[in-house]
Parts: sequence; structure tokens; C-alpha cells
Amino acid sequence: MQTVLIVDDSASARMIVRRCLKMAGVDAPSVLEAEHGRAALDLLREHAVDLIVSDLNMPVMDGRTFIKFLRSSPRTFHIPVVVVSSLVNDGANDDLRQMGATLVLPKPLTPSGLAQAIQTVPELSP
Amino acid sequence: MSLPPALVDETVATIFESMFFAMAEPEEGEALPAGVSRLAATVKLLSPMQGALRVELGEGVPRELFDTLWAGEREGSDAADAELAAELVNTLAGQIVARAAPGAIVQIGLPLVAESIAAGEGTRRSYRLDSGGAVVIALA
Repeated sequence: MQTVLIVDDSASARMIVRRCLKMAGVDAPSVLEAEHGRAALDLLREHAVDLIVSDLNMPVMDGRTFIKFLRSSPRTFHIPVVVVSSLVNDGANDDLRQMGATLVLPKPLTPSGLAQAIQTVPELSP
Repeated sequence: MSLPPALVDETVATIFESMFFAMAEPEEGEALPAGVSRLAATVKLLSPMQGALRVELGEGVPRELFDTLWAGEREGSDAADAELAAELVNTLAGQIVARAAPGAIVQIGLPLVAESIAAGEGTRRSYRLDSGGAVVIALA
């Protein structure tokens, strides 16, 4: 895995994701960060990204709209997306998976929770 | 609006432990009475229940939590404290509602660092951190 894109309006939340990815063995040499979906789409025009970790509740462009854009573009439809959000429960999990999320995890993210989850998805395993 | 106190207590404890390695124990009485300095952040609850949730952090608590979370990687500041409080209220509100309505799609607003629930409105629950810091969750 070369490049991970973390999308969250909170700098603290982005730092937690960075730390958890590293502790879970996803040690990408390049980590990009964006504060909302629109900024993330701008970055995706300039960078090849192997994994996206995105929040849902963000200003400008929220996570659900961001995933819809990703899945509708031939350049980005294949990129795995891990949703990390406080809004996650069983109802949201099913809905987000149908929209194209690869994994759905509740905040606060923990290294063990992320490590266990990514083992269930072959394309995400380190 | 009211939610089961046990659900709120369990969610608060889980989030403080996971994010900050801190124990948050429920406390009888008012941990942050009127006139005591605090940093407050509020978020609107939009669906499936409507209302607002505010977190109030006693003096020194935001910086203590920030320093634990960032472990020296970033310098603390008033803006950083506010950003942390906003993320905390977002996480608490989202997870409290998501756990209260497990089959529902949850929607909340964007966090606002301000006391937008007037004092005396809604339900207040007080917590004491193992460091001695005071935290209040207000639901309206």
C-alpha cells in the first residue's frame, strides 16, 4: 500500500486514524489528508490513492456524497473506502455498504478494531 | 429529550477510555455549577430523534485530553482545545444516538463550540475523570 487518503474535518480524528493505521500494520509511505469530501476529490485528481478512510459528518461535502462521487467515477470507483464515523450502527452499516463502503467502523477508532476489521477484507490486508 | 442514563454513562465511559485512556465515572450532583469556567461544545440531533447534546469540560480538561491524545506531536492552543471539544461532542452525540436507535440512520449537525443549550434546560449528567477533571453532558 503506497498512499492512504484520510478525510475528516477534525485534525484530532485524522491523527487517530493515522496512528491506528500504523499500529494495525497499514504503514503507507504517503498519507494525504483532506478536511471534507470536496477537498478529497481535488486531491484524487492529482494523486493515485490505494485506500481512503473517511468520516461522514463533514462540512462542504459529507461522507455519503463523497462516496457517491467516488463510486460514479471510473478513476476512483475501485478504491477501497473505510468509513469511520460516530454515526455508525447496524442501520448505517447496511446502508453504507450498499452505497459502496468497503468497511464501516464506529468512532472512536482503535488499533485493534481496525486490525480485526481489515483482516476480513482481502484487498485491505497488509 | 431523555435517554436511558445507563446508555449515556456506558457510551461516555467507552469513548473517554478509547480516545484518552481516561476513566469517566458518573458523579452525583452538579460537577460544573453556574459560574465555574468551562469549555462547551454543542451539536444538534436531527434524526431519528431531535434535540441537542452539549459537552462541558471543566478548566484544564481540554488541554489535558489534548496532551494525552497528541502525546507531544502537536502544541496545545485555545484553537486546538476547541477543535478537540468539537470532535468529542460529535463522537459522543453520534454514538449515544446510534446506540439508542441501533437500526436507524443517524443524522446530527456539525459541532459548534458554544453553549447553545441554555443553563437549566434538559437533562444534565456529571462525570469525574480519574485525573479529577469535571465533565458534564447536557441533553435537551
